[in-house]
Amino acid sequence: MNAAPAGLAPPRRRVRLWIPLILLLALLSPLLIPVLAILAVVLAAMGVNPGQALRDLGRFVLAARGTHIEVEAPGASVVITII
Amino acid sequence: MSQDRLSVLTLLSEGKVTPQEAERLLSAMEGGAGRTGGAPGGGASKPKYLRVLVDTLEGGDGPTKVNVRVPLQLLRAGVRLSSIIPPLARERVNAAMAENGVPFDINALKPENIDELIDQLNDLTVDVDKEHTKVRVFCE
Repeated sequence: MNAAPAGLAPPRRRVRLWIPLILLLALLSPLLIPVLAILAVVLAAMGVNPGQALRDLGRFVLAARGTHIEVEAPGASVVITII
Repeated sequence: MSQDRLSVLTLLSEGKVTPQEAERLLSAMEGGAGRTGGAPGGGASKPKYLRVLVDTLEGGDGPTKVNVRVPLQLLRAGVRLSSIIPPLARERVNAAMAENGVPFDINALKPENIDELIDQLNDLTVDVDKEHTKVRVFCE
């Protein structure tokens, strides 16, 4: 049985996640390069300047550094930080 | 309490200045302190993050706290990213916003304007204080 013994608080689910963005991008780069190439073709087909769009996309992803999300609820505790 | 502030209050208690004059003097002192860098976060420092704090008892089991910090740089980059929205999609966005009573033109959202908007966010504070929920949005 998974139920907590009487008188004790239910178990809390704890998630602590620190995401090193640059390291993650470096690790994913073998996958990212073909994905970005496909995206550039799609953007060009849509009439959008692919160079500028990809540059803006890169800026957007890199700007996420410093994001911190913390939720403390009775049954769960979640902290996500992008560094 | 600072000596200057105490002096003003003494003058007020002695009836040498009116309450209005005392208020003006105190405001001038606070303004001076802000300009000389006395107050943290005041003056020339630009906000870097948008903070959202939620503290609620709704849900029944106990208190829930949410603390979110988003870099304002992300907002800037997001606006720049809006350039990849195709023209047809822009028209649809504008139409949907107008349908919901928001006369907003996404084409008018330019990166040049967002800096001005973010500068104005420095003074933004949203406080929602309900019976079991407190929400605070501000820039720091």
